[in-house]
Amino acid sequence: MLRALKIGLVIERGNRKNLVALVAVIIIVFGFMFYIQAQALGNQIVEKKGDFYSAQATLSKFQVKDASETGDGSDLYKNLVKQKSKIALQIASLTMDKQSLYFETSLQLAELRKEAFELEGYENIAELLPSKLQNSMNYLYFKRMIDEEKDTQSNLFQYIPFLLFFFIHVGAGWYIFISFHTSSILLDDFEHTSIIQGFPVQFDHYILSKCIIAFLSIVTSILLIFICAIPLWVLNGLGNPLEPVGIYVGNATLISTIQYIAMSVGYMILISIFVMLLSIILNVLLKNMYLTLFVHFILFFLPMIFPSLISLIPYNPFNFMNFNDILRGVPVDLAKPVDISMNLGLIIICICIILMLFVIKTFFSTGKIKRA
Amino acid sequence: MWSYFKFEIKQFFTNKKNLAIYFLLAFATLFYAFKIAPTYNPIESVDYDEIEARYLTRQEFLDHMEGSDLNGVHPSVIYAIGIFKEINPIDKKRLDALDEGDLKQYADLTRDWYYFTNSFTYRNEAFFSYNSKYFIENNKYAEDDAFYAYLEQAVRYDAYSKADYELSLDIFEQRTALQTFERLSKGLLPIILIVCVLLLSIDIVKKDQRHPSILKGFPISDWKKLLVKMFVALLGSVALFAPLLIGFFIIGLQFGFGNFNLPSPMYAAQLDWHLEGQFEMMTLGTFIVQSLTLLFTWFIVIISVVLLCSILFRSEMVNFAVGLLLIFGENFYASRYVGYFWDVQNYPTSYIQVGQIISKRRNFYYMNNNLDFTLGLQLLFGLAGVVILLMIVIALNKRYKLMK
Repeated sequence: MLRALKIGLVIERGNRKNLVALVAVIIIVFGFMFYIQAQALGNQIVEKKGDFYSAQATLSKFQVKDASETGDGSDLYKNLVKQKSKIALQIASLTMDKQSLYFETSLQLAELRKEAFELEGYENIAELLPSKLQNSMNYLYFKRMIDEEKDTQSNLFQYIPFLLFFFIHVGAGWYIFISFHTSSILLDDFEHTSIIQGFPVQFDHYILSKCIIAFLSIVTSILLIFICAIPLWVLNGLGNPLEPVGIYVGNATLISTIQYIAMSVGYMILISIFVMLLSIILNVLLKNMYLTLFVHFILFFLPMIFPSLISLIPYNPFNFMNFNDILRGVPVDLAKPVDISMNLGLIIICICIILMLFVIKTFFSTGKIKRA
Repeated sequence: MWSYFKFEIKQFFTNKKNLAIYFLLAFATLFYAFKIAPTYNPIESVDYDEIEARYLTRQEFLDHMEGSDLNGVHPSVIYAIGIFKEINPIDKKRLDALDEGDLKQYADLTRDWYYFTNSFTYRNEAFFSYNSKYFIENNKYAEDDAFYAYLEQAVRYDAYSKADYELSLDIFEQRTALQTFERLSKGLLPIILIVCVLLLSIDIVKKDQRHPSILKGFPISDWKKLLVKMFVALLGSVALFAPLLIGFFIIGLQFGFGNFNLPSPMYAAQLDWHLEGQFEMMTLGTFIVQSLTLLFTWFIVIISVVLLCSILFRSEMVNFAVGLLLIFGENFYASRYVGYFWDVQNYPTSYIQVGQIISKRRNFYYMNNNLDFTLGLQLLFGLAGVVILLMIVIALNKRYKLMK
């Protein structure tokens, strides 16, 4: 076993693909920094201005009426007018740099929106406003901020907030990255069968050593993300690791930033193992890197292109590969909502991994399927 | 010659990288047709609620002011009464036309509405504002974009009101398959296709290094080989439209196909202030034919540049870098209204946004009268001609060998 590992390492050391993957990670991390800078992401004032015009656009569907408590406008209209004035207050408090007032106003806005969901005619104007789940997460977040009497806003260029932003947005990309990385996991050796056959190693040992090596390079990539962001720590400080983040696990809850990052890393490692095993099976069956990639992509993107598939087959493991969407509660906001959360996903992914290990162990190592 | 052509075609279409490009394009098309196209929600939509809300608000104001003494009221009230009295009957009739389902009548009225609304909204922020959806993206030039859109819509509805084909709301909101193509070719589609051509042709010379012995069996001179390669790459580029056609049919079945007589207004670039913002009618057929011509010219330019770079530098990465520079070169100088100071019309790279060149939206963006279909065609063909000539001269040189 150790011998197989050693041989594998020797072969893998000369493989330029690992280097390319690591460089890709570095480029993506630094690219993200420039992206945040260029798009002015996290700039609250810009975002709130967008919200303001959304509110105005929504209001253009209503006749202007008396919006005071005793006025003759509809309840929804009154609610929307109040929302708009709250957003204006948000912008004002941000401009004046009064964070506590901003949190208070945002909480009131979330409350108003919560009421609005129950009002008549809401479905006609839902388009430009946040979904129910999104709103309740906002509500929890701002409530926590007020309860803890916070008066600072996190800056995306600090270490921990940046990592959080990165992991929230990179989730779907991770599957693609790993499928590129492992798409030819066995194929390079198929091309030089004589080398492999020269080493007296059992097939399952050989596969296992391959997996361990690939796994090592995946873990290195994840570590590299943390290392690449360190300049931000040096320049702008650590940031608040306990800042709450809203997620969906059966109901909307808050967890701390550091928990979210740890969870993401855990999911990413599990997903990597899943993808790796699937790549091995596809490699043996299809014997072509591009075909392997295509199958990966089709399986991955199908539930995204046709979200109704998620409602139809909620237990499809590929629903859970984009773990950020599940944590954000996207399936709950679908036209036909399904209540799936990442806890369920964890179980399903684990079952799939065990199944695939079983398949590899029983079918591929008996010699019925040749290596090349 | 013929056998070499067949050999190249076979190599081109069995190349795994090329197959992957076709496949990914097909995948992206399906994604667009199923997922993005149905959620398209234009700002200038046919929105009954919005018209009604505006109409009722203004009508109530007018009713309230009816018969009251206007001496001593603020002048802006009198201004508002004047404007609302003009615009409100139009909004009322639009609502009636929608209720009756008389789309031709609706188009006729909507044209007047757009002309009139624009006339009192443009550069009149103190009193009126365009649809607030233009401002959501924190767009500095929202007012200008809205101005362009309103006048364009006016010309569109003018054409609809004189239409001899069946009208529908999907046509009004530009959802039909042909109109989707029109919208896309004013956006990212040309760039995606040109990048695909670059990726398809990037290794067309370099790949020969792998099988030098087979190629020495073809007794053809180098420059003929290069021209054959060029022709093969062009055929491959045309094949890029096959996956797009699938999406075209899917969208067509969902929202109708549209027809070639639909309007596709062209901005009449006039820098005279009293003629600013004029549009001329162009049919969708003309738009599509001209766009495809320009796009195809771009394909030729990219392929010939890649071939020249291949024989000069012999590295795929250099090909890629040069191609990308050509495609995204515009971004180095493109910014709003810069064409007023610089002669952007003389750089071939200014013509990359094919649909925007044909509809002359680019002229509005650059504030330049001279960006023009024929000038672009001349520049691009000139560039391609020079590059191909250089390529042939190098290949004819006795000391040059295509394969080492």
